[in-house]
Amino acid sequence: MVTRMHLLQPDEVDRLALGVVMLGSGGGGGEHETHAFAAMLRHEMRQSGPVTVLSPEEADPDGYGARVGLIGAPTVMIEKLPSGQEAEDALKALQAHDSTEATAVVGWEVGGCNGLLPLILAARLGLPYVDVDGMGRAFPRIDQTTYDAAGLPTTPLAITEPSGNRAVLDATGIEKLARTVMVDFGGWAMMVAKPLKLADALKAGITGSLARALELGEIWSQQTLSVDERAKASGGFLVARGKVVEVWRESVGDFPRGTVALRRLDAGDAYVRLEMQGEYLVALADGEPLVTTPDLLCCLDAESGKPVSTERLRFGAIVDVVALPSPPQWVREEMLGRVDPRAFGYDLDYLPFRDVS
Amino acid sequence: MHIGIDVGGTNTDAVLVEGRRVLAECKKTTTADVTTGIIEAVNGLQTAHEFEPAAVKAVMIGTTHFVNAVVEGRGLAQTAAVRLGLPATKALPPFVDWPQRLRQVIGGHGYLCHGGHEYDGRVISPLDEDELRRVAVDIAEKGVRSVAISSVFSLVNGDFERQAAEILTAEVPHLLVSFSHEIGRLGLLERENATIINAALRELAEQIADGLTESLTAQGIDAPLFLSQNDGTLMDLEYARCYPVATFSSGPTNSMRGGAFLSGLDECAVIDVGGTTTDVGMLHNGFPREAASEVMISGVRTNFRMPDVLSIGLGGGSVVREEKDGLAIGPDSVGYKLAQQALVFGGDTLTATDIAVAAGLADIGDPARVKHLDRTLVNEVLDHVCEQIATQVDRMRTSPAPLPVVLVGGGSVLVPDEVEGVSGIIRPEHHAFANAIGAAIAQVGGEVDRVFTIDPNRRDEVLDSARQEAVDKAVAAGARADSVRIVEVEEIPLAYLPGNASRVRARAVGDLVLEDAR
Repeated sequence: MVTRMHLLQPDEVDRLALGVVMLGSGGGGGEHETHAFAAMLRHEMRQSGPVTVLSPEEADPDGYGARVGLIGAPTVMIEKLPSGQEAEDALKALQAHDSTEATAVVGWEVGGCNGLLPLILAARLGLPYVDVDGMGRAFPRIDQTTYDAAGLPTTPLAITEPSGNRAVLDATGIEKLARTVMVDFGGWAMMVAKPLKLADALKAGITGSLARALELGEIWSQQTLSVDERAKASGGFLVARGKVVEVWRESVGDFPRGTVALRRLDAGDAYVRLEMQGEYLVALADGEPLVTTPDLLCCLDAESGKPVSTERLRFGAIVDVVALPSPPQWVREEMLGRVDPRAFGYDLDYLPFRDVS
Repeated sequence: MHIGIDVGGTNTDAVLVEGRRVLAECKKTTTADVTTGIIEAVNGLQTAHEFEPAAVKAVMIGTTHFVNAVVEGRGLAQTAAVRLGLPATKALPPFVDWPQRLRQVIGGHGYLCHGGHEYDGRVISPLDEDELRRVAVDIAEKGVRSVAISSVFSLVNGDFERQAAEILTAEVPHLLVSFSHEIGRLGLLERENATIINAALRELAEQIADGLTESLTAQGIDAPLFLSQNDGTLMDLEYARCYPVATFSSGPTNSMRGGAFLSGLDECAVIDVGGTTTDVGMLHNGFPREAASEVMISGVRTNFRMPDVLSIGLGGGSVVREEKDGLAIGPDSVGYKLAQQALVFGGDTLTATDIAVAAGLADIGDPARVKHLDRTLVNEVLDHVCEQIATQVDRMRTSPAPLPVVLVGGGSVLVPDEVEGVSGIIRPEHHAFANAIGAAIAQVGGEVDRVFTIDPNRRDEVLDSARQEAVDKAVAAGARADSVRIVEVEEIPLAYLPGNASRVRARAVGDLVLEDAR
């Protein structure tokens, strides 16, 4: 964990981007989509200078941290790129309804694209980023945060898009409302929620998650280490190396979901099954679960070593499936209901993280 | 009859083809100006099999010239990038993250303008004609000769790109225009980058196109000229003048397609063993599978169609060494110096070719010079080659069913007849000219790649309309309507977007109409 102020520099961005993609568990926007935000962050830093990252200990507990996140399809975002103004617009719109002034930026979802967004906002506004977020990974729903679990408010919430359209939402059932607005706004939108008192955010949130992303980025960019070694250095393990022999996708309910069958290349005639929605959620062998959400699952291209998102995983691909442990905050009985396999519609209980390699 | 020519980094190969028959083949050294090598190769064909120049109905050329120009940064035009999408996209202006050097060579003039569409076809903001006229004035002042126009979701609607081009060329009459919707895929930055690279190559493309026409006319050949594209289809010379970027990976594609053609197989793996590297690709419906990821060209991220080819540093010229921890084969190669440096040619370097001769797989040079080689060593090298190739083939494989493998290229003698997981190895005749033969296969294609909103009850309808659009594009590109078939359809629901938005890709291919050839 970062224990003193860290000035995040442009040359650290690629590493950080790799780290947040690993924390995306296959979702939250993959390597390709996160690349656009990495370029944006670098571009912003060239103009505004490095971003100050404060460790939880250094943050002023009486300050307020703005939360920012992208909602919608990263695939649409990489075509209709941001104006760069969306988060500021949202913050302004929000302040017309709620006068809480943000003195810092905090994370909402560290996994995937949303891991880099708050840093871009921090760079633009010249505010520090306080190293805490509400997921410690990527999840699809707004309410799947430890902030929510602690009863911290998500509303009012401002939602904006590049052309300057904005809406401030203050209602129950914010998830459905925000998604309806997002579709009308063109497939993705930026959200800023009511700033959180830093003392509350640090108590309820997952602290040190950006430092974790930097650490993972460092480990996974070391191509000289084997995947197995990198997985172990990350506190996880290599589940299997396999070839994708079947990808089945369907679009029912709120989000697309799918099943992937991998023929293992590291063990004779064995198969591993992955269940995915936005993220990889469950890994099974012979019908028995091996790894379950909220523990993380990443697929890495066996040749390039790059993470492969759920959307980009293709028939015929050879991937290493790596499991990483969930942030400990999720693995408590009162928390699991939001993020365990049942929360995603699978008839499975959470299986405590253990190395089954 | 027609002529297929492959201009590689080292050799220029040419074949004279009639129907499915190869009448003559010829290999010459590639020349710096490209055209001299082509003239020599065509002359070589004349010598091998005399033909009436007027009987040649088409000439197809595959060349790496344009990609080399980008890598070396030569012959590139002063280029501007005009993007239509404001107020969106401003956070990532054109040329963001480009290598400084390449950006400087082409001027790096970027313009952000209004325009663009949403994924569902709504307009982001209308085109601003005055804004574009101001851009035109600036472009003219800066001496920019070529422009890349990219509009947000132009794959859903390309009208803004075309309208902007009209406004710009009305002000700057000789401006060369490249459209992003004709070049790349979803992903604005990568598509824009590919379009900029294309724009920077337009002047060179004009020169090369003129040079090629002249060199063939000088031979009395008046037939239409085509260039092969990355996906294995052809474009005519007029199209090539506009889209040089589409030739970037035509080399490996042509080898794959040529191998498939020679073997008569549509579903197979093709292994092209050259002097330094071995390329392995999979053919589905006679076409190489496409790479799923973005492609870096000289440090720039792009997303145009490229074949999915695995390349390993193993070929006929690979240097063989016995090291402490075992045997090492390649990746270094004696390359074109094989005829001087290999043992069988009296040299002092042990190469993979020497091993093949010692094993009796090949009859090249003087076998007596490799008689002394240890049998165990020879077998070990061959096992190693076999294992490496089996691994690559398995990586490309998409189903556990036995897979036929077509072997082409000068170094293919190295590969034994039995490889694990392979149902049969086919070594077609003329295999050393697979690349030129691949160029000579006269097919053209059309592609659709965009986001469709798919109502569950109308799924088939939407997919059919995507297929039809791909077919129409193939016909527009010159395919004979009755020969067009769909070679690929893919549908991926977009993550995190409720509703039924899916990215659909469809690709169609047909035989080139040659009846009206002069």
